[in-house]
Amino acid sequence: MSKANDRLSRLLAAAQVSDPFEPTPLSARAEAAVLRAWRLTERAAPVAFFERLLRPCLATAFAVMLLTLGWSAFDPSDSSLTQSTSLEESLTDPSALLASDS
Amino acid sequence: MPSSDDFDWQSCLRRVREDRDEDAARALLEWMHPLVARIAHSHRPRRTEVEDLCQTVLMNVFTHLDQYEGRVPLAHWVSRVAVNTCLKALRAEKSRPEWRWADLSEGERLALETAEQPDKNPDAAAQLGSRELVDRMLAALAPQDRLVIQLLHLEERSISEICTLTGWSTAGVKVRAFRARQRMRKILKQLEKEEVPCPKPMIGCLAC
Repeated sequence: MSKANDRLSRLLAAAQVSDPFEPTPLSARAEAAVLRAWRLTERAAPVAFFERLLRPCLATAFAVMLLTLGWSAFDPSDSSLTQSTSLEESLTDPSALLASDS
Repeated sequence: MPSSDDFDWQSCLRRVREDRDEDAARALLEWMHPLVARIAHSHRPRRTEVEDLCQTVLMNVFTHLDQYEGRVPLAHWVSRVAVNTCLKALRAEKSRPEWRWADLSEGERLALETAEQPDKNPDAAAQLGSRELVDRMLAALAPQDRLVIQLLHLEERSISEICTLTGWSTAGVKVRAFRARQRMRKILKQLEKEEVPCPKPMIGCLAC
């Protein structure tokens, strides 16, 4: 251990025992400021409610709506519907069926 | 003012959170203040008043009370908020003062001289000087280094306590403390060099 290290350790040890700080009571000004800040958090509660619960719910609902719209636009049942319609037409019109056979 | 041992902080906290009871908030504030003041006094930047830093810490505590989950005693949580607020204030302090042997007070010089002699116990004046000198050295360190030296060597907290207070890992605390001590040793060595008068003053000595 170097000389400086020894000296540092002794300095730190001597500094430990001589801090005579005793806290004074909190001033009325500081107390009022803290309580005012605390009261303001109460007003911010509806905003917090929106941030934490309502916004995710709205976002989820919007996403579900978009998915539904997208699904209905590219729904494969549409083409099957078209196919079944042409089959119905050919069944009701036998000449068209014969033409397709020939 | 309620004494810290008898104070029923759980019920007080419940009244503050659930009923928004202002009297309970005031009582909680009075209970927390000595703890916060001690931390603010130990870790405040040089130009910041303890009162101002206390107010900032307590505002942080009261505006984030809903984030306290009850896993640790409230005093521990408040201490952690206080330490982190002080660290933030220390980081905001831009200048890290450099100082020389000539800047030291009589008490600080006495402290240095006493510390050089291993078998000599420091008297009250040397202890006060040591405190002033260590405070000066701490002000020259980076905020996190300053914090770790203060907690580990001056407040004699254990490594695990420091981890709890700061959120750092055990290895992180040890490494930071080691580096901080290295920097303090460097400062002491610089002082030591200045303390020894130059043997050839005024004849073109580059050191002078």
